[in-house]
Amino acid sequence: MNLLPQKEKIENQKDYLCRFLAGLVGVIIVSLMIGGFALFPSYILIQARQTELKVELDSLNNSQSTSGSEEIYQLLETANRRVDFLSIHQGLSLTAAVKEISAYQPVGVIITSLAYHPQENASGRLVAVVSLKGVASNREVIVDFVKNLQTEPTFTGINVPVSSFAKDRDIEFSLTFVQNEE
Amino acid sequence: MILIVVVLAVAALDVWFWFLTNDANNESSYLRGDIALQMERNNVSGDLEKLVSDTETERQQVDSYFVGIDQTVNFVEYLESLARVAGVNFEITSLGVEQSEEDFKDQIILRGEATGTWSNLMNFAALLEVAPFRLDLADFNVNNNKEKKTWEMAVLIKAFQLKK
Repeated sequence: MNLLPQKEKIENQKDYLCRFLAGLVGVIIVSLMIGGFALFPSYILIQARQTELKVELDSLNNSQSTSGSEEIYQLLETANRRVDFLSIHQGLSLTAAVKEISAYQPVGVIITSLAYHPQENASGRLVAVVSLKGVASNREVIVDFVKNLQTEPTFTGINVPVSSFAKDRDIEFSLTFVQNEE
Repeated sequence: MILIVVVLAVAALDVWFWFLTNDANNESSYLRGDIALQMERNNVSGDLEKLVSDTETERQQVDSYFVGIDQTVNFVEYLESLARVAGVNFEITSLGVEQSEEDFKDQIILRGEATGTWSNLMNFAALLEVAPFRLDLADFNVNNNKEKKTWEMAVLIKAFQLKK
């Protein structure tokens, strides 16, 4: 039972509220200050670590710039281009063609002229156009020569002009064919 | 009222301090990332340096297939020496250098004529084909000269020279 007059009751309640709020604010201030002080060492440590990291990064950057990595890249790229260029060296061989022609040349055929001209064909592949001129003792040996050349898989498009068969003895003939890469 | 202002001031100070710490922390993280990246770059760079030193001989070998800078005369003399070895009379009729679009090489275009026996000329052609240079026999003609009783050869040779 509260026997205090109403006015005193209200004053007591105000006092209580003030003390409560003052206590609460005090606790908040203390908490905030403790939090602030607790963050301070972390901040100092992070700052120190950050300085160390900056020094380390500068040192790494300097070591990288002195090594001249750009020059190394260029050097290797150039070497790579040179190797690529050399590796697409043509697979055609003049001496291989001459060797095959000599092997297939029948008795009675004398070669008097040979022209060898490497070039790109319609599909972009490298081929060699070979033109032969010679003298044959008769028509049959020319036919034999052509048949022999046709057995060589790298030789294609063997062409003998009809005029080569006009005479029947000591025939001056010509023929062309294409040597393909093996 | 004063207490509330004090609370707000301390709270603002705390928040500012917290952001400051957070920023420093974030920047440290970025720095760690940059360091890791830089270390990786340096490792790659180190590996490439090793690759360059390891492939020194091979790269010199590759370069030897090209006519060296200022080595045109030596190259021509080398071809002449091949002709002597093959036993043919070889004469250079024209010699020129064509600038190539590709940046590391120019093209040497050499026309020559040779006379000799069939087998000697073929030996010369074989020596040209196996020469330790990247050579293209771009055009090759050989004819029998009945009057002189000899074979005559005309050849167009393309070689490649490293640029300065």
